Amino acid sequence: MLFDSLTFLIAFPVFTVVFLNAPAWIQPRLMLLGSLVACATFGWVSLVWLILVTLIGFHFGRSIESAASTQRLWAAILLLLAPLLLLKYTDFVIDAIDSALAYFATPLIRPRFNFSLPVGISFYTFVVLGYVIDVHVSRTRAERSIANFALFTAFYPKLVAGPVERQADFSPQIDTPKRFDYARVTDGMRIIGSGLFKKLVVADRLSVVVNGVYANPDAYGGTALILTSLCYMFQLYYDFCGYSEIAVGSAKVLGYDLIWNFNRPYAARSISDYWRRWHISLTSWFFEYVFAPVSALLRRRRRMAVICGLLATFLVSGLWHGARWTFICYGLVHGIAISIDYLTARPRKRFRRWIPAPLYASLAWAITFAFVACADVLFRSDSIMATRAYLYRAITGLAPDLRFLTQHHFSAASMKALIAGLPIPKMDLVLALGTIVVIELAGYWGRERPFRQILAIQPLWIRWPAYYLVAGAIVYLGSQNAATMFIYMKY
Amino acid sequence: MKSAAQILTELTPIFRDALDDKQLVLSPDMSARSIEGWDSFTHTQLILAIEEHYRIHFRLKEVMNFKNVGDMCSAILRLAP
Repeated sequence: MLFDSLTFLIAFPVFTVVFLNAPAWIQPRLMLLGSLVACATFGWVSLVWLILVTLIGFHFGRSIESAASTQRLWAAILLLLAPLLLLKYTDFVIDAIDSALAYFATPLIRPRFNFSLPVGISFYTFVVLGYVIDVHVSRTRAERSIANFALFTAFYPKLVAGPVERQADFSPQIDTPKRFDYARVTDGMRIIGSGLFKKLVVADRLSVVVNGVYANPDAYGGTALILTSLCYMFQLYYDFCGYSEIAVGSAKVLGYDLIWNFNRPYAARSISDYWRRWHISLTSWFFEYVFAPVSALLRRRRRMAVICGLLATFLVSGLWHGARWTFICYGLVHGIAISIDYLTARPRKRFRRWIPAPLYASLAWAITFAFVACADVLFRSDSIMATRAYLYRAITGLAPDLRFLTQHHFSAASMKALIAGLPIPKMDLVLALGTIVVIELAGYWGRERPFRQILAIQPLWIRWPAYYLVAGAIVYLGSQNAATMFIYMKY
Repeated sequence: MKSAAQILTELTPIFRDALDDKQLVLSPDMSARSIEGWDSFTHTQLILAIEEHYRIHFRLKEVMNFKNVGDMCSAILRLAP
């Protein structure tokens, strides 16, 4: 049952009405039941893995608290990671062994398992791992109630693709009675509307051009490839941000608060700034549980400790996305970039004093944006060779495109000609890109106070037409294409 | 022997530099939750800068468990010569 499915659109309001009117003592159990049923709609295998990871986490949380021992912590980490490693990386490791053997003899044709990944396993495994580590370092108390712990793990709005919550933030909300609160419910609905709009009107529309061009990049020129890489950046962002907003909004309607996962990431002025704004819950998880211990352990090596911590963090982050060399390289490339960011912090600070602030800010933004766009090509491509070919063709194809534009005096017709072959109707592309500009500008102006909060205090005659406009856009402009699965669901 | 207030004064420029906030005024109850930008990355940079400044070495568990500025001051008082 996905957020953008008809089942969810029917089941969620019905469940909300029942849940908010139920006696307080039964609400946590009702929410747990609802979450488990929702998980079961993805198949009983997903449910079994979820229960297994929950039981391991609960048992070790209690056991580690009763007698803090490093062996127990490592046993918990290994047991929790084992299913994820087995299901996600077995074929990748066999492939790597086969490729290595190919250098010496005929490659061995070993069996491939093609395990299908249970829904949300990468997310809830990390949620439970964080909990066990927190109990070990006494950052949180072990959960006493198995039902409450199961709800912390299985809470449906965050089950499939996060946000990656901390037990210390989520558990205190479980036993608080949830009642209908007009302001809260309408705020949640506005967030859900914004998420659905981003996913269905923008991300899914952009997926048409992205899928078409990445399937055969050789057929396109430099401008078309660069435009497509920008489309992919925003498809990825709006798809996942849309998902996260629906998660946060649904939780809010039900009376729970979840972490905001995005904070205008493409406005970042450095790579470290970018990672403070992108997939915030998971990035902070990696920094808390990978970077902090690694750099703390090695800190006699001073700056080298930070570099090692950063490289380890982004290598794990790349691997987390999946068993592919492109993801590993994506992690490493970002790890190297953020290390350079760290090492050049002082010279940049000095440089900043010498040039006008707006010029420095624009320069820093442009470099960060261009880097993220290039790295995202790696994230989207099927192989490292395909990434190389794409970027090479995009960069070398720019000069002929520029010559063509100069010959035609940058006429509108010549610009149209450069993107003529893109597999998307022009109006769809204009609509998607125009919407992105409007949303990003609204985000910029709403830095201090989000646009939805400003809308909430407007008179009725402004508010309701705006709601109808968004709802109408979702219904009539929502992409009708099949590629509607949330991108981060597959990780 | 330094006082906690003295340590707090000495820590202020270190925090201002790491958090890039020239106006920051430290108090013992300030924590990562109350100071914007104090995340795990900045925390490590703070620890490195403090250890270098005082020529001390915190225990690993200490580093992972500092709850606020006051905890850091107490550890520095205990370790600093």
